[in-house]
Amino acid sequence: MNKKRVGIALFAGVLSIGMLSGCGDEKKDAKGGKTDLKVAIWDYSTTEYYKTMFDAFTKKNPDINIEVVEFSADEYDNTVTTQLGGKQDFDVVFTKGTPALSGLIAQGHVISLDDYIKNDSDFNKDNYLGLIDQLTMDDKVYGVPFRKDNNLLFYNKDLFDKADVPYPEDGMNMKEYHELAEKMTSGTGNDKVYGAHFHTWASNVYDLARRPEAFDQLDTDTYDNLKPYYDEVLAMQDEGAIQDYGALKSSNIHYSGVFYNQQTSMITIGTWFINNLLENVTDFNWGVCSTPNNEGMGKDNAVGGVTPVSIGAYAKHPDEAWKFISYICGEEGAEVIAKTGILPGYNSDKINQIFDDLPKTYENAPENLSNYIDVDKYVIEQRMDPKIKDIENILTEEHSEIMTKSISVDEGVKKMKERVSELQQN
Amino acid sequence: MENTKKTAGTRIKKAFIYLALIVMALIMLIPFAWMISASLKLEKDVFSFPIQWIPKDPQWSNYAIIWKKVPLLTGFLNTTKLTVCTTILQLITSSLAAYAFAKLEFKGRDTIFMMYVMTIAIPWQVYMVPQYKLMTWLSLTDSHLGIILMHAFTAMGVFLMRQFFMGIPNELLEAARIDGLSEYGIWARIMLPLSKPAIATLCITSFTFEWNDFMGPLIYLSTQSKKTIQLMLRMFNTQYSSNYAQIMAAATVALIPVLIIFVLLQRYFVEGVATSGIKG
Amino acid sequence: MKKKNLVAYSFILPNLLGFFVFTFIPIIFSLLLSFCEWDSGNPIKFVGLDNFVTMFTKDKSFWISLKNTLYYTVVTVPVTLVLSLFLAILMNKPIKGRNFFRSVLFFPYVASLVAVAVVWMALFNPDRGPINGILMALGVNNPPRWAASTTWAMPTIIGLTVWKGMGYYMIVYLAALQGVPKELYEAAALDGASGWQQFRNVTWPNVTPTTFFILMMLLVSAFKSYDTMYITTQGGPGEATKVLAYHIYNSAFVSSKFGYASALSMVLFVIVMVVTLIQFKGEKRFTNYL
Repeated sequence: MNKKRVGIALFAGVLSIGMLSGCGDEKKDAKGGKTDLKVAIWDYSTTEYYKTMFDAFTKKNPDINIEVVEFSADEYDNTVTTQLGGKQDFDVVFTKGTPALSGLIAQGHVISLDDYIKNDSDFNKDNYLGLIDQLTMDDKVYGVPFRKDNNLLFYNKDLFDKADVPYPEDGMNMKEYHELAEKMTSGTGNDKVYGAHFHTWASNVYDLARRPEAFDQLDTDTYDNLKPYYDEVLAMQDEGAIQDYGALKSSNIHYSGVFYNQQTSMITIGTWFINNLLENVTDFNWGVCSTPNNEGMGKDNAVGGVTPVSIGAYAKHPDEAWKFISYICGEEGAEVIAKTGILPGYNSDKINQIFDDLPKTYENAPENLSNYIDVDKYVIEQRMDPKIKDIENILTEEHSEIMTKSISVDEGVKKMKERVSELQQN
Repeated sequence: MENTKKTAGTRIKKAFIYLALIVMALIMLIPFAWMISASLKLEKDVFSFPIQWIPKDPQWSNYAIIWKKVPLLTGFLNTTKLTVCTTILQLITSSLAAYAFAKLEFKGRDTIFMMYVMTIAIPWQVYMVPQYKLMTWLSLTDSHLGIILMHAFTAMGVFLMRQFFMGIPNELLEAARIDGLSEYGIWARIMLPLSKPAIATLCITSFTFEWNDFMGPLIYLSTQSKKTIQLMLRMFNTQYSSNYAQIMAAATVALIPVLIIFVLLQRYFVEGVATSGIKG
Repeated sequence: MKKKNLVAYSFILPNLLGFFVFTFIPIIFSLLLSFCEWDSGNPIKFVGLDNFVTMFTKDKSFWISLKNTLYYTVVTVPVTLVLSLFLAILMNKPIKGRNFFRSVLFFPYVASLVAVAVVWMALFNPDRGPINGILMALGVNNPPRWAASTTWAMPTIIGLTVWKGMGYYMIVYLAALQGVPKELYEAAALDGASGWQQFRNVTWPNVTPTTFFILMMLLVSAFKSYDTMYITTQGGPGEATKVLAYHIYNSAFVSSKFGYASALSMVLFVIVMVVTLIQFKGEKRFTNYL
């Protein structure tokens, strides 16, 4: 009998603890006339510049209070999709890139921004290097670029100086890149320094072709143009000028560590790396130039991704959301992140100057970075399309088969074409 | 003559068993050793090759940083609360239901039990979104109560206890019924005491699952002050940089309570408890 | 008669109610979803059997992931079962330091999956891992590329799963072994039964309910497996380690096809249900003596 009583008491106790903890969950809005703006974002608590920017915004708009809802970076997309599936009333929604945004648009979870853009006299599309027009689906704009990140070739100046080899230049073709990488490969075992480094993403290869617009995920006729790039990269892998894909995949090695530790002389990766280098590299000088390609493209085009910001479809305060978005994606917000070496979506002479001035604060950074930021054309890495996520998945799967040499380059590209065509026809 | 042969053979066999066990133990300990080793390194050295088991310059500061970088203590408190509530609730309700399924005859018993068991097969990702819609409708999102209610009534708990209960001889129950004990009495005074190993197992299972669960809290908890340890662990990795050294430090710390529970419950895996009163 | 039913219902009610509301109803909803098209935002559209037709006739990834799942399950389940029973029997013997060994064997189960996966993958790294180092020293010229090869990726993951899980199932068996009366062993030993005969005639029959449970749990978790593949190979290389649960997850969160994902999981569910029913019937036959 005693045990039973104890059991029931425990049960009741637990339930009441549970209930009490559940109480006090009422969402209070409009404390004393203020509007609560719900912003969905990742990495908020680990990134300084968000706080700087958000505080500056609330200072300028004292009647708006920002309620940050943060999810961890790796799970952000799925969490936001699930919550929006439950009609969560986010006012502002950050997304990690065009595939994620495409998904949300197709599901009706974000609203179009055309009216806001039209009615906002301070907002000028031309400051965004044509990106606003690329963040569209069915001719409607759905996002404003908060930041953008294009691919560059980063190289370790000190290693080149030591080997007495001239620095890499814009407009190299793949063969020249291969030869340069071979020249810059030295040592064996744990002391080996690789000439170049390819990260395991499929985009690390296809972006090389995308920059000169020889490749478009949505057009399978362009897929054959990937073959020479894959051939060259595999040759580099075979000769040991770059690390083996399979070994990289099995060991979780982050590309940043490889470059920081001077285990590779060159790497082709996005401009977010500038911020990483500014913060982490103090013992060698580094430089940038544009990525190699077989189409003779110099530094005129850039290829890369975008971090768009949008307004949630179930938002309670869409007007305030637009105010917020136009601020952080506008000149003032852009200046805050540019100072840390992050490329804002917004483009202007002032921003370019900030990048050119970076070496004044960070000695190891190169001069004239604006050359690679202020480009003629910004080719978006993954075009907006309801099926782009699926296409990327297929490309990644075939990429892994090609790079592990489980199938030949020809077979791999053929499979890409077949699977994507099938997907697009359904 | 025969005796010495037998002892020599047994000794060799024993030595072999000990050797095998020690090798196994070492193999089993490797991930744990790696966790600790990684937690004491600088991020760029975590995945360096070959694996350096003893870091040259141990970064003990990692263990201090983790508490400041994310609100880890809050995470600990939240996880503890969720785990304790869920485990207790599960133990009580599962053992009650399991008794009925194992030892009582009633209408619909087998059908309902099959229904339980079959739902175990469905991956949670499938009903994750409908479940979220339901919880939104019940206003149970962003609350600990919601998570407790979702996790405390699992088919697995009922299934586990029922299987153990099946192993308890019916004669004991018949005797008790003849003595005038109610079904509740039988549950409390016979089934539970005889099932200490089973209860310990369910306790460990439930505790480990809830302690390490992260998909549930991920989707349902938006307020920072309500988040759990596992969510905090993911926050160390940002979009462009990984921080496995700190994650492993936090994971090592998070591991300790689970191990403590296991060690404490070890004593219930003792022989003889279930044999009292059967023969004779 | 009625009172007996009421008493029984009162036992199952707390758990059943909670289970019904929070688990069963969402599952029913997703069952209904399998006959619909839904992307989580736009209204739900009824499409009858379309999802199933697509699955069986047009979706190559479905067949690939089904095959991978069966491969994974057929190897992981028996291996884990046998190993954990063996370990449990071992851990039940009067060995010095038994408690220590029990705890240590249990470690991989509670250690974070990320840690266990990283260590396993590091051990099996095709270029620098110790496993291939040893193989090459033994004269094997082209050792397998493990997770970087479409042939060896699945076995690598199977190894990881067995390693991580056997400690837990050992505990479950250990608990069951406590319930086997010592006297039975003593009687058997007196009759001159060998170790193997004791196992066959005393141990095995007495733990069949637990074996059934473990078999069921292993089967289900093998069929539901997703996390391990996600952390190690992301379904690759190519689709070599893409299991059904991975395909379900992709269909929901990459392709935004929650209806189709539900349909896929219904197929998974039916397979497991059939296996469960077979086991259930088997259990009735084997444990009637109690």
